[in-house]
Amino acid sequence: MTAEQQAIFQAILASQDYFLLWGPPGTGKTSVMLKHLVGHWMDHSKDTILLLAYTNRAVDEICESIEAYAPEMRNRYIRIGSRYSTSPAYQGRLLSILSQRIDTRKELKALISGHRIVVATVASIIGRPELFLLKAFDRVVIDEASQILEPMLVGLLPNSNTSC
Amino acid sequence: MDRRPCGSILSSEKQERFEILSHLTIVDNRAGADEAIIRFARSEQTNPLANFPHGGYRGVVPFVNEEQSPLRNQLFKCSIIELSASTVTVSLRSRQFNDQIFQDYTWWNLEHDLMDNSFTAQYRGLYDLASSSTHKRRLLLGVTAPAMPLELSPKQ
Repeated sequence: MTAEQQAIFQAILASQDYFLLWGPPGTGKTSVMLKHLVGHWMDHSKDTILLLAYTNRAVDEICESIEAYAPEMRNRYIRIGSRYSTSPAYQGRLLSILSQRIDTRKELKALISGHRIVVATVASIIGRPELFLLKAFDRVVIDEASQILEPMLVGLLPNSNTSC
Repeated sequence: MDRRPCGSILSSEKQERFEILSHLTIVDNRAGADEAIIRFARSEQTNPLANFPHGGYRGVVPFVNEEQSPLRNQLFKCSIIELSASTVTVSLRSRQFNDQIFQDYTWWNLEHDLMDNSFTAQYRGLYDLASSSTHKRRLLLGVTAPAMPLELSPKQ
């Protein structure tokens, strides 16, 4: 990270309520900042993390970024969404694929609670409010937030402790 | 003053802005399947340069004539899952148990969707905000400033 990115990174970690990060395309909001934030929270806390974006393509980029942090990250997140909207590279992390061999609710619950990171589009999460009954999130990061209507955001954000 | 019917103006404006894939015909209808999918064939009237990338949210509506506004018909929300020079395949947001409408119309239009969520989902979001704690509400509405770490606070 550059010195400026380091300073922003530290500021985000220190923020207690929410942090708004704005930057032009290509400045590293997802590929640098989100990658290191998720990596840091995974390495230094037990927080559960919800990563959201407006489009499926941006969610693919989030998957790419967190997998680039460390090879083991590949198995540490669940993606929620449709097979058709997900890049083939990340379809193996879809909840619908991971749960194919699950027969009981107990196993499904264990699968969801066994993963600290959930990645999805806002539309996918809004369509599955039951997820919040099964899992509480300590942190939520919303990429492409300016494209999302306010009623969607204000409905999601009260479900987490810290937002970015 | 342009005296063309509203639907016609909208349609031609969308054509000029490459924002509509018009005059599509259904070649494979699996709207009633678990994974509701419809494959359309492009026609000679379909603009080959229309800007429709893979993914993202779209709406598909039956095309009756140039005069009719899209709002006069049922709109199906969908995502594009495959694009080729001859066909467009979409995944419908909701499975359709009654797919008669797909047999009733010959031509279909695919447009960009500006509303990615239903009003019900948005009301639910507002309800969740209203149900949250006073502190959360004040924070999210910008009434209370977010807590700032000491080292980042503006110098007194």
